[in-house]
Amino acid sequence: MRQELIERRLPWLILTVGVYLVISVTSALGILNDYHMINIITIGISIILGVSLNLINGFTGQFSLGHAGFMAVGAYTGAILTMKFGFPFPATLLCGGLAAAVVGLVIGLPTLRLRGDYLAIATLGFGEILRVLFINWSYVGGAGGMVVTQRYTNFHWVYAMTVLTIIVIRNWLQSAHGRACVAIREDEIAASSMGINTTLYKVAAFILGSFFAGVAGVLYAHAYYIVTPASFGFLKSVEILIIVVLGGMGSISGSVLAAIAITLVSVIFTPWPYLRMILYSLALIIVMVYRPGGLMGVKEIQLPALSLKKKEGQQVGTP
Amino acid sequence: MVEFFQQMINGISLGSIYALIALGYTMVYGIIRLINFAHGDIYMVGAFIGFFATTVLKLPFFPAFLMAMAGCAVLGMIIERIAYKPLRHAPTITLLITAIGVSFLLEYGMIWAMTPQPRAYPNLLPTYQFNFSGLIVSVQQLFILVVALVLMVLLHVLVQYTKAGKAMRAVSYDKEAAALMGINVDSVISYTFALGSALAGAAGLLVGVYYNRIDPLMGIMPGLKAFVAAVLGGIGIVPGAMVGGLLMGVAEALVSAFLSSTYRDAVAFAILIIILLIKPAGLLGKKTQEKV
Amino acid sequence: MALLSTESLSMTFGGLRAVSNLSLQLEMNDLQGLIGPNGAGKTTVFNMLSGMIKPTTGKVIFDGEDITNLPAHQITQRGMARTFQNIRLFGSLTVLENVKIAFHRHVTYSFMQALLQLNIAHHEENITRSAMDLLDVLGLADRAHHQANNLSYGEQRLVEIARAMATQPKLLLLDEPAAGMNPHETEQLMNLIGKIRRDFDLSVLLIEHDMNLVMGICERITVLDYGMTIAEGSPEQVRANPRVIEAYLGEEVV
Repeated sequence: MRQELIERRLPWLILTVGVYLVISVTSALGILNDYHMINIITIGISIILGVSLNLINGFTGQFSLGHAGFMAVGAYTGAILTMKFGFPFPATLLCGGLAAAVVGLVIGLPTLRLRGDYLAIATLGFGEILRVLFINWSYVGGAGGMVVTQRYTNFHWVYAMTVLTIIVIRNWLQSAHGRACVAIREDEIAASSMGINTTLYKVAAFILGSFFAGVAGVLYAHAYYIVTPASFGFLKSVEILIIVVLGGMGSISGSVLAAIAITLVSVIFTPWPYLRMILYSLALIIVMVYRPGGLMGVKEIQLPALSLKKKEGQQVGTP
Repeated sequence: MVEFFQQMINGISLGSIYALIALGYTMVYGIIRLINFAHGDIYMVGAFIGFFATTVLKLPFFPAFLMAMAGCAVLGMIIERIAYKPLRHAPTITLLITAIGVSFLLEYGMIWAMTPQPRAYPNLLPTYQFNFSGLIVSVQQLFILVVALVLMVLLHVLVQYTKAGKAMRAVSYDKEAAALMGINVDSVISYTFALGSALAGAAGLLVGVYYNRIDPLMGIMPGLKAFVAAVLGGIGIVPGAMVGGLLMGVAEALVSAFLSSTYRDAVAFAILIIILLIKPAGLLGKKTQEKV
Repeated sequence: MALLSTESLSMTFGGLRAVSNLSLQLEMNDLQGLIGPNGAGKTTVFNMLSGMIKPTTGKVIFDGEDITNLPAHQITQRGMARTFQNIRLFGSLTVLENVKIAFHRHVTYSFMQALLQLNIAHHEENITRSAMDLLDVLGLADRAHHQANNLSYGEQRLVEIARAMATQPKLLLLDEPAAGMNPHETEQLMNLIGKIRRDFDLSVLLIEHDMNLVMGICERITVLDYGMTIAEGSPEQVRANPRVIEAYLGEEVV
């Protein structure tokens, strides 16, 4: 069993380390310049946002339209802690995530009783309320935003946090607790009759998703010099939603691929920002009408297991 | 005290516009259970059609008004046919995501075609103001109120007393049963979209006249707020949308005047969340239970 | 002491009395049937017992405890499980996953352990093994890795039972388990219900339309009509009861 586990995970480990090394080395050699690196950082942040929203929307089936609000909480918490209190970056990352998680709890508890479209609108509302609160908070610069001169976010941090997000959320989903979340998506009434406390698990997924949105916010704040309330509006929430929908609601690897694709498209379309939005909206409509499962549906990319040594007795594994 | 009444007046005229938009939300939700995110953008398109009718075609107010309504009605029907009809049996969320897509398509399509620059609306109505011992009421405000009321009464008559209205109510009550009774469900849905969109188009032109300024993203906030108004009154209920719209307008005007205009946008959502948590069926709605 | 008893249980929807003054008694290891014409309120009774809806008036006592106002998941945790008439499987998951989810009650590891995947491997192995064992009992082992939605109607009903069994109940509520099954499948189901009851030492309350099945395996039967109990007793007593015959007029009683 242990052996089998190692054999299954080894390819992923090699891929993870390999991508890290390739990017680090090419960046050190100057093949990837600063412009490339900031886009790679954007991809990482998008992956964290997409995967964490997918936990809420795709796996637990609780449709949230306020993910940018939790990102904002993380971004502002991070900016305040490093700029006003001189916190070290790792502590800031943790605190940003925790602050977003607490807000997630406060918002999730009352709203997660709502279903489907009503929940979507309520979370959208909370996201907008958060934005208005930041606009009216002069301590963090109001509508003009807050300048962050500490540029802590680099490729290494983003990569580490991205990998951490994916592993932790995957761990959750592979556990009985994660299965409870998926059961709620499939049929909430049946889930409760299996002894699952549906409120508890919906809130848990919401908090976990919010935590990583907060972490993404901290990374964002320390990568782009400035945080403004306008960066975390409904538009941003929809951008994250697009990643989840295009990748497949219920597929982590789908969100990762979609985050990469969306960021690349954004880069290519930088000179034509409106055309980019038209493209996104068309993609949303077409995917929903013709392929509502998105790119990956609820499937995950599988890497072939590596055989460490020749097996004596031929074992046939289940797919 | 004068200030308070002044704000009430401002709130009511703003609220009657919300009510017009909210009616479209409520009718569409009532009939296919869709929060038509694109509805606010149809209102924006209405404002732009009115703008063209008056500036390029040099039409006077009423022909322009009818043109905005007709244009939006057609747009609403086209959107329903292309984006929503294929999803008749899809989950709510699939439909909602599609609606978000349509909304962004209209917004950024308009920006692409027209640039994001705001445009000054021509003065179509006299700018005369009445002064009742300090209380200022403009002709425009009165006009908006009267037009909105007339449209709402017309809609009410249409829904309650005509054959088409009865068909609409039947479909919103039970689609399958209505179909068995020989009602053409598809055309009733199409008709509902046309009607709701026409009202949004009317609201768009009125807002253009009132604020003298339109832009391609002008529909987002009023759209969301009108939705809140529909939920507040009880979604799916026509008189509820009117009541909700007026309440929203008044609440917003009072908060802008006595608290801070920067909190204006938060008010709507605070109202929304409170109503969803306390009485999700809305002020005029009845409680329903999910079938096990 | 009765395992389950209800005291003047009533449910009103709007002005309609779906169930009125129901008094059920179910002893340990009983196999009792709840029958009645369409719309008699049988499923409403199940919904009230399992906490899906709250009764308008009356009480549900289960295993010596008043569970009337407990949420559904807590009632399941106390040992009452149910199946659904209109099959509610976790459709896009595999049969095995469906059953594993139902072992939720017995998951002992914490959220933190799940997030870090700390010492959960043997727990997970146990759950998988128990789930497979259960599928074996129900003859579904070869379907374990099939998507639940792709199973036949009869098989889906069996998965529903497997899932309910996985919560390790003292009382199993079966809502029309034979609906959509052919006579052969129904006969197998009858044997299965008897076997489950013996092997797992539990009580069963059964709603069924198939009279042969109910009369064949139930020791006691309660007959509902228009929300009211019109007869109670052994299959023979119920079969002979004129009110029952009247209620079923037009339907085949025997």
